[in-house]
Amino acid sequence: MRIFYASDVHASNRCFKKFLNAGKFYGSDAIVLGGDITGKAIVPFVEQGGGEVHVTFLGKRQTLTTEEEVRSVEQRVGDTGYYPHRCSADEAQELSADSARLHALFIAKIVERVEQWMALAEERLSGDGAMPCFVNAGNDDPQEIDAVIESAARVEFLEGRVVELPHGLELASCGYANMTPWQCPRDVEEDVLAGRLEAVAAQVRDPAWAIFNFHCPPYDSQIDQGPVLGDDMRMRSTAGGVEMQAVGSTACRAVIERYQPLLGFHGHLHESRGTFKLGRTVCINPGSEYSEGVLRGAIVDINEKKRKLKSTQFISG
Amino acid sequence: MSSETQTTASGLFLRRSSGLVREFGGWDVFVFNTVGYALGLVLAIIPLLMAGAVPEANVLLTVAVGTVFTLFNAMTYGYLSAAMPRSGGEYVFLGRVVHPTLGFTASWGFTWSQLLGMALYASFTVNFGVAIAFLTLGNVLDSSGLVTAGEDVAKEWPTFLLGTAMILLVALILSLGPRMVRRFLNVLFIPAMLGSFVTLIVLLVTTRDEFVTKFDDFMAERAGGETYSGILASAGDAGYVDKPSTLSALILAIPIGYYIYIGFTYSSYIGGEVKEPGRNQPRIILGTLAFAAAMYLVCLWRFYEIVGQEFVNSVVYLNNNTDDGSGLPVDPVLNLFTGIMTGSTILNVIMALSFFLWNFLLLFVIATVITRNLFAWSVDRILPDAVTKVDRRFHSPWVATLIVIVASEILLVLYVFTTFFQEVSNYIVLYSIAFWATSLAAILLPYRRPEIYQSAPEFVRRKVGGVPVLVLFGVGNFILFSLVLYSALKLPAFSGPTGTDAVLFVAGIYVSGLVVYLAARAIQKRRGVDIDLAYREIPPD
Repeated sequence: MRIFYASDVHASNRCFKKFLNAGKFYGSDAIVLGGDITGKAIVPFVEQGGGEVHVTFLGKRQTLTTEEEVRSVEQRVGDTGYYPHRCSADEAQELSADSARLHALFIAKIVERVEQWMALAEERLSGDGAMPCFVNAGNDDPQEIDAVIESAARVEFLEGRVVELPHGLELASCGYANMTPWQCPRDVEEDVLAGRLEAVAAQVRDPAWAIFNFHCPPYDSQIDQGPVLGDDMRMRSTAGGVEMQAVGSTACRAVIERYQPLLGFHGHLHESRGTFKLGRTVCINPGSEYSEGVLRGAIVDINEKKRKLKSTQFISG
Repeated sequence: MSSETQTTASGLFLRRSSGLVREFGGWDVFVFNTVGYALGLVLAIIPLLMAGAVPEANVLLTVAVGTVFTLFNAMTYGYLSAAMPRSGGEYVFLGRVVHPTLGFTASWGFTWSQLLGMALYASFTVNFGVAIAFLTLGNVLDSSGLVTAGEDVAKEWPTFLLGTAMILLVALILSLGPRMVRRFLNVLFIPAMLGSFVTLIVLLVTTRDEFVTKFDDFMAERAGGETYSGILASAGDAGYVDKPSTLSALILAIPIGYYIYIGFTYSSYIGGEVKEPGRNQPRIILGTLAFAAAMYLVCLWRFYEIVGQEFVNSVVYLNNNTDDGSGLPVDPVLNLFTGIMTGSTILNVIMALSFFLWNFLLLFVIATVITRNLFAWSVDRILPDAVTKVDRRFHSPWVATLIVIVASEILLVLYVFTTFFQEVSNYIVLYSIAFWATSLAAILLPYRRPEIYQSAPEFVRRKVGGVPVLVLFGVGNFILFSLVLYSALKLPAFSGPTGTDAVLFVAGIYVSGLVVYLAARAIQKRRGVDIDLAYREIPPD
């Protein structure tokens, strides 16, 4: 049995489209998308009148004069994982000044994109392209997306549930994470997280034939390296690269050590791609390069007869 | 609610989410690339290298033309890094655009060149960094103890033991984890650069007459008494003829004009860690090149104005062709002459320390590049999983580091105690083949992988006369490395051995890479893993 797992696509249209195609491309029996599927930024396309639009994207200020140009940049913005928003100069200023209104716009944009993705999944995963598809939320994802995914026809939402993959392999999921400096929508304290993880793990019939799909990786597992942040919340870099430290969850580590599932599917830390063995459990973090439109993932081959992991392979698709 | 969103200076709306937008500076990468081409080391040895390999070539013109050609290399690697912003250099570029087999084989050859470089620069750190620094300091400061120490450390066993100590020190720092390596590099970059700036200032404030007077005094007091004019005359008597610069000499010397920059694109091997790599990689690589070119051209312009190319050529000619040599107590590296120019103890110590550091720090950059490549191969299942094992306490890649150290140590033994490097190992040809092949990735990207090309930043997709600029850069890079390979195989004084054994050695390295890849692919295929899939792009539509 082959499972394709990816995580942290952060609203990148290009990455999500690749994810939907990955099942067929790699010959998988099921595709699983870990959390953090929503984006972090809105790019205002400020209409100047006379068809001229100003936009600053990836540090470059551009003046767009045709609808075709605007659509082209909007597509790139969407592929990068941002949300384009056409507005007047006045509206842009009002949004800057009114955080509540900006927050509401974010939610609307996020929900709109997830709805588009669910529609795309229905289109691509029907008929010849039929493929079991599982999607979860992560700590960055607001609660408003849950209902959208739950109502999708071809996608199964995973949060707080145990679902069955082919051959009876169980998939237990939790998208919440321990507190980050940003206090994201699904950040919780370790004791609260422990309760959530325990609650879902306890539903598993046979941990030895289960995957724990916990968005946050176990603490000090080498796949939980996150950048050290300065007081200005920026990464600290010195000669040769970014300074990193272990930022995973102690609760996650404890639950995995206790239940010892076959596999742990994780994400959350984009720069910390790798595998780590915790007892008999192989924990995987495929990392993320969503902003470049690269889908990082892992092909996981499992021998269903021996109920053993055959191999894992990272891809940058 | 107010803290849930924010607006950046550029008008981008952000919401509260982990990691925010990827954003960190490029200074560290500038340091990495500058240490990668070892500014102070190269500056010191250019006069010696040019006088030995192509004495009739105009040095400033060689550096200027070499810099123009090197632009093609900068743009090729910078633009490919922008289009494919991942760690791995040619492994990723060629693997994605042409074929994974070619990507790995080129990366394997390049990595072997870096392993040879570890041994080479470990011994250079002793023979140049320590020995010449001691000899220069000893002679300029009139300290017989330092002169003796300089002479002793350059011998076989001290070179081996100190070279081993350097490699073990690199291993120790690497084993303390990436944070310690970065701090170490960051801190020591400052005195290294300070010494280079001191060299620049000394060259800017010294006149030829002052130098000739000080040189004659120095030689009278601490050497055999030869004078500046006496050396020129002796060289003429011994058969040296100062020839005017020729075009053919320039063409032959252009690869040296590139060689002085090798290392300035090394950030492409750590591309996954660079802020907004699509934008910053070309800028940082070009910035590194511009800084290096400015330092080289100003320092060398002043150096040859003061010391004279004919004089340097005469010294090298006498050293290479007469029993008595030139009478200079040390090889004619730039440091010796700037040391004589200033005479100041403190400035000499700063320049000597800087010269040592440029040699020594290079070992860290090389070791980092090798371990990154080993990691990438292992993650892609070409090497065993064990290679990616990381120490839990320090987060150091101890298995990869161990491989680097053991291989470097074996090669150091071969360098010091055998004629292997003199007869077989051609370091420049080895890495140039990988860079040469990377031209293909630039030339073919728009046609073989249009989806990657179309999603690259706008500047990468620009065209001139209907031809993608990336293709033009690739062609320029191809011409540059064709010239480098031609010269490297024609000029042993520049590149090392060029005989049949040397050619077979290089061919053997690359063929072994091909064999390793094909063997790994066959083994993994039996396990159901297709390693060719690692970088194959999933069609989004």
